[in-house]
Amino acid sequence: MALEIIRRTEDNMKRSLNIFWLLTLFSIKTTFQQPTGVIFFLIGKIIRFVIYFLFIYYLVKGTKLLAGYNLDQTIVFFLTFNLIDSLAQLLFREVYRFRQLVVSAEFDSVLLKPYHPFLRILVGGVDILDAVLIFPYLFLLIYFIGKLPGLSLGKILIYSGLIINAMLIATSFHILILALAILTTEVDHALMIYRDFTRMVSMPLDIYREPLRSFLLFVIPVGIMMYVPVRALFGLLTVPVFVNSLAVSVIFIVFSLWLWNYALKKYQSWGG
Amino acid sequence: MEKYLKIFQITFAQYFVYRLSFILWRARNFFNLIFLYFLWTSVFHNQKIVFNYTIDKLITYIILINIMTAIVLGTRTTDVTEDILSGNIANDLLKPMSFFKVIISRESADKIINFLFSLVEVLVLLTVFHPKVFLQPDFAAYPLFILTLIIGIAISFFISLSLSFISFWSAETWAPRFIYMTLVSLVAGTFFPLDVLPKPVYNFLLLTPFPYLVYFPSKIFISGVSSSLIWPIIISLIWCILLYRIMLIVWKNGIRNYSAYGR
Repeated sequence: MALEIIRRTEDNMKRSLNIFWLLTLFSIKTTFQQPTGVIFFLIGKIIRFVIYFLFIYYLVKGTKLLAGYNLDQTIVFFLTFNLIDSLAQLLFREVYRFRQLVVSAEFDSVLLKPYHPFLRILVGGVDILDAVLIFPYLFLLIYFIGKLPGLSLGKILIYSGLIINAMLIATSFHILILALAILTTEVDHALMIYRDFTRMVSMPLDIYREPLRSFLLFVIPVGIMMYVPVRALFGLLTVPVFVNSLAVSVIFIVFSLWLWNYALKKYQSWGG
Repeated sequence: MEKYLKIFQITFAQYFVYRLSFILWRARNFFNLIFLYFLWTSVFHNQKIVFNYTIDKLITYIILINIMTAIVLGTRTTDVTEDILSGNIANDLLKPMSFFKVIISRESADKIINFLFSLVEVLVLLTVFHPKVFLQPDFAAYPLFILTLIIGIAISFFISLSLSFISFWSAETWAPRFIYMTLVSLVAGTFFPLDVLPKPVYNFLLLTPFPYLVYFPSKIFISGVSSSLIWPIIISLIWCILLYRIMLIVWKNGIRNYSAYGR
């Protein structure tokens, strides 16, 4: 009996992965149907990253410290933000297109398909352009992490674990936005507000005063996503903050799934 | 004139129909203001002068940038792209109204409402955080500030409208606009005063139209009038005229090329 359940779960996972892979291939093909757009988009992203990077470099080089962090540490904060932000955009680009599905009631057809709707509306539009940029971010991140003093395998492992935790929170944020889209048909600004909040922690959270700092850390847990992993890497993370971070993540995931289920029950297929 | 005033009023009223959307848009601007305020306050934590700026001048700079971004970069010219691609522009062209005056009416409503909300955001910042701000004591700077602000509005309008006119030839207008917005967010001075950059980079940027959108008027407000402003003002005027000519050329060629297919 137990073996049968395991076999069925394995089959389901394989099937879901196959569908994910198929949708990813479709998404890549769609992206490259507009080659000029691809080039412009990449150029724009590269310009933005390079200028921000240079700005931080000049700023902290001139001032020596930013909220108590030196240049290399500040750059690690910035690169960690870029890595998590790009990974989230890479995976969850389809969320940006969800509003149209709701207002046109095409979402009905997604719900009727014999697979979980998240496969289509959450991760069904992998953005290959963000994948291209992740490699330079990773390369630079490894280089600047390598320059940090007192680095240990334990710190790197905790940092990596907290990055995975950050991705779980990012997933929850996007599920929340999907739920809000069903309830209010508002997606674009909700997404951009999420990205504005995450951008606020592209710099160390220490630049903010209380209660804004705690708000960004535990209420809108973008601080847990981008700030806490880097603090762990510097050996500055305390056990209470670590435990609270995990607890907030779990609460956030549970809440987003609850809201999604609630929103689904309220979905009335207005545009259909 | 009355019909354009009506378009202005209708555009104004539209923002109160889609209230949530507009409020969220302004909330985003407010978060950006808060981010910049804390970032720069933190930079001045251990130092009185950073890149030749005192804290009051730099805070004034980011406050001005928030207001001027609303006035200069707030735009409805992106609607033109949709009108061209959907064919709706054919209806506009058939109406007994000047196409450009209609756009200017919509644009004015957009700028005024964004300006009013940006003032509220700044008031919230001033009330909550009580930052020191700098008021330019040299009154000669104020007319020059207004003049350069008008030039900035014109430059932004001509570029944005020209980008929208690309849709006469191609549906892929979002890509050049994305690059434009990226450049504006970085080299127009919306994130940091451009003179914190190395001198050669700064001098090069002054040859492009971007610093004249929001950085240059703010700089005049902060630094006052000096002879060093003559060349940048001349360059900004040249860009203004050049971009106006380009916009007209693109419009004339585009409208000649346009066949309103699908209508």
